[in-house]
Amino acid sequence: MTGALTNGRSAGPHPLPLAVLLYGLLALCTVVTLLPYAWMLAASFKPNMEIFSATVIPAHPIVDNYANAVGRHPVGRALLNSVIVAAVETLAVVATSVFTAYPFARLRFPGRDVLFLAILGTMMIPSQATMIPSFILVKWLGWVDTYQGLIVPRMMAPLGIFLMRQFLQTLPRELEEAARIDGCGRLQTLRLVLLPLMGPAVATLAIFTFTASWNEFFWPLIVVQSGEMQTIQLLLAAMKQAEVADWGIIMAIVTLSVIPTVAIYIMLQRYFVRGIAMSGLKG
Amino acid sequence: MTHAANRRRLLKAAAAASAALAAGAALPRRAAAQGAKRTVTIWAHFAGTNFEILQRMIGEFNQATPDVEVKATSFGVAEILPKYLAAVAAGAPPDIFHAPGYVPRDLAQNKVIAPLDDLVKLDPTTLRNFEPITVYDGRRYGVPVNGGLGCMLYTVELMEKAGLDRAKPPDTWDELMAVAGKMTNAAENQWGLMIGNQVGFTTGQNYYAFLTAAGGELLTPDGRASAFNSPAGLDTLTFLADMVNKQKVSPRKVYTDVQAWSEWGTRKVGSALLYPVFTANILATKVPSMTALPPRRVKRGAHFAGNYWTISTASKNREAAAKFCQWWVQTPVSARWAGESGAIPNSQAAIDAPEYKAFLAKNPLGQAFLDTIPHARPFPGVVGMPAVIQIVAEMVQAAVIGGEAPKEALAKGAQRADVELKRIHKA
Amino acid sequence: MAALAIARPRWWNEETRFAWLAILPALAFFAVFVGFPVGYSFWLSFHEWNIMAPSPTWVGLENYAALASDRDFLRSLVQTALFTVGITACILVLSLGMALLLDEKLRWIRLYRTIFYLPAVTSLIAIGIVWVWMFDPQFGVINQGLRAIGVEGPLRLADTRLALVCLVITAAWRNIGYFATVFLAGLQGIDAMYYEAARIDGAGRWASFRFVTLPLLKSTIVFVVVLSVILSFQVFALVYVMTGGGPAGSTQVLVFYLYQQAFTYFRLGYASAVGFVLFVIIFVLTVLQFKAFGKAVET
Repeated sequence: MTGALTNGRSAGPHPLPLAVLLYGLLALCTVVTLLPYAWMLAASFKPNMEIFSATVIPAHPIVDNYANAVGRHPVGRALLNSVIVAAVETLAVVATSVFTAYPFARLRFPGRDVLFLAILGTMMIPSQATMIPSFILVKWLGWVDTYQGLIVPRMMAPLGIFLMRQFLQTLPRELEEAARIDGCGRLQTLRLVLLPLMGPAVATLAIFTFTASWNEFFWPLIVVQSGEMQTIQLLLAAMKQAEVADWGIIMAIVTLSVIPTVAIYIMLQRYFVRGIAMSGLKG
Repeated sequence: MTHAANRRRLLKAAAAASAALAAGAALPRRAAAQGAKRTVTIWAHFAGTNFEILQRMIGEFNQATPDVEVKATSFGVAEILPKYLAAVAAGAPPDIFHAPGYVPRDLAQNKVIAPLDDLVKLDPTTLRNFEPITVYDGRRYGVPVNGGLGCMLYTVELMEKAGLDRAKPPDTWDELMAVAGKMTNAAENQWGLMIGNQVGFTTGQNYYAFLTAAGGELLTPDGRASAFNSPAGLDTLTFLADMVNKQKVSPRKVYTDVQAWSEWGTRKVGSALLYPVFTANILATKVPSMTALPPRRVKRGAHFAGNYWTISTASKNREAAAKFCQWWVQTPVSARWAGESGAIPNSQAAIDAPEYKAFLAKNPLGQAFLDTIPHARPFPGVVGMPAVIQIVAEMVQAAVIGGEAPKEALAKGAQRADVELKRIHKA
Repeated sequence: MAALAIARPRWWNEETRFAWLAILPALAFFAVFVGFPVGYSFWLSFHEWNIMAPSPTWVGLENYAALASDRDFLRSLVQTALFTVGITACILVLSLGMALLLDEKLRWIRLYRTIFYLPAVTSLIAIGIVWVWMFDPQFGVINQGLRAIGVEGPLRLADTRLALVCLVITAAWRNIGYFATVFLAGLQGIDAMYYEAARIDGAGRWASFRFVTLPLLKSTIVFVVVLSVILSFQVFALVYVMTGGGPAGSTQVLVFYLYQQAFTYFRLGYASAVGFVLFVIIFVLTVLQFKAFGKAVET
């Protein structure tokens, strides 16, 4: 099956001019996207002085940067911390978002729209403004410098609820009605009928949440007090500001820090499949 | 997706989550203080090599002092003060806060850090330069980790190519500008003089250094108003702006001094302002370099910085923390730290100590810093310095690459500083 | 059932009960972890607090009054608005375009999807570091490329007029893949059957895009635009890493201004007021967008 660009023609490969155009665009986008990474990867194999030169490919690639990065700095531990925090947060957010979004998407109840707007509203408050009060709360709960302190305040995400709600709205009501007629309770309907259709949305949210958690900087900065609990972003930021900024090592760590999120993305990619045939209108 | 597949996914996810949480809980964490042994936490802003040296020296202290265990964590210098403040607000600060550049009087005034006169005794030959930024209202609030100041750094090769005599480095601003001009070749991206202009502490510091040489003052003695909107202040700002705009001996880009030093190895930088902790970096580039006293305008001037151990008032381990600070300022320790990190030692005794003398013998770049000590003065020790430094740095950036005329930038900067200082002192 | 119905109001039915039960955990969570900090911050906005003093000082509406005449704040507002418009426009057009491209059954399409998503999974610290290098007038790839075609590196972070543009470029590079993923999920939800039906009815490519794709994507488009506005208005990390608000304050976005007020000028009360004003602005914009998109939101 093909998509919008080819107007639903499902038979055979694309006509030549269109194919050239599409592949050409893909190539252009690829170059633009990968250029910084190419530079970053190349830099991680260069000695420091060469990074300041105009060359892209290293003249004599070295692996010292990686060896030094892992040997002299707690890179492994930082990566592990980031993985733990991101993984748990992702699971929690996906589960709670689907469950919470369903009433907003499908049910009628007093206060629904106001509440939804309120939840959405929590995304509009810059976290830098609430950083100190949040930290006071976390300290009161005894979670300073712990995994709970890093994870729990982020366990539910208004973004997740928003995304799930929008997606649930695109699913046809008829499916639910059919399930109800067949005697399913609401929870069952959600689990057995709607959830299987939400592959792309759930995968998207999982990717988003993992990524956001992985890349978070300011909250971990405030919560983490000890070297053992540092996340990879904190490590990077501290190293960047070192008196003798070792750019080669920094580039090596940056490269390493990109790998887990890419891995997650590749894993979840296969859920991006076209939805099963449905009747009824959407939108 | 079938029910079975769904359930399997759910189970796998639950298993993964529990495993993750269990693993997290099982990972080694900071052990609770046992019995009489006190744990002292330090939040330091060193990273990389200097942090490694610090950890090593802390290890020595821990060995020598069995009833105290010091643990240091490294944070970026830009974030360490906000992080400290958040911790103070929540009531969970570290025992020792490593203050960069100076001890903010605001911390002392608000009783966030504790006076240390009774807890730590300094060597009588401790450099006097530390006093204005560690002693407030007659009480000492910070223990010097080391001193620091800026000197001129030159690439010998470029100096000689420009026909200059390395035995006679520029002595005045005009000479410096002329020398930098001879070392500049814009077509080849070669720049005669690089002084950082990124908004931040070091740019404010550079302005202050040159302002001192021009005979100017940053603030009035009571610290309630600005004093840099003066002929000397204008002279300084014009000099810095001309570097990029008129004489064109500096590149038109935003950079910090750290970046300039990082570029030293390209051999395309003629001169820069250097701080001693970075001499190791310069030496590592193997580019033959020399240091010299900063050039004079009305007089010779430099900014004296350094960094400081301060002890949080809320700390429950004050005596133990003080023990560490006391150990740190001992002459051999101070000399050793300075010798390994390249920083300036705390006292004349440490400067004369064999450990530091050995470092100087191996590092010819270090002498100029010592010679500049008598001419270097620290920031004024007044409340609101972080804000003033920020305003000054923004003013410098506006004049140097922001396209603002120095006169206007100066007037605006002074006005903003006045507004800020008035607000702070009204409170 | 009838007997029980006497004591209950009309709207208290099974649907309402279930709904409230389902959202209760989320509400409780938000009340604690969002409500408390936000409430505290709002309360702080009526005070002056340098964070170090034992307790804040009441100043009433003084902070808000000061904001109205604070030229730096107003400048921040303008710069943030410009950034938001720039990045949202980029995202809307380029992400949708990219998603359409990725929806096609081309060879190695899964690889391409992974590649284009890469920027989104890279931390802003890392991106900031790399892109500052990319924009370097001397060593940076971008200006070297421009030099090769005869233009002398205008795109540099040192240029007060163009620094914001550089930031938009970096942010766009980073987020296009992210939002393309959302559009892709939306596109994949559209059954090929609709396209076939349109084709049978004689619709060309453009017509079916207008009458099949766009209407069916409405919910997704709303999501993307609303989210983009909400997020861009709060841009911070990119500025923090790449420009520090400069040069000469030309990239001093609102949240950065807030952060500086809190931690450099020690004015947490004032910073809280900035935060609240920012919230109101974003909230109003969001409500307006929902109204503008109309039916797409209601069930």
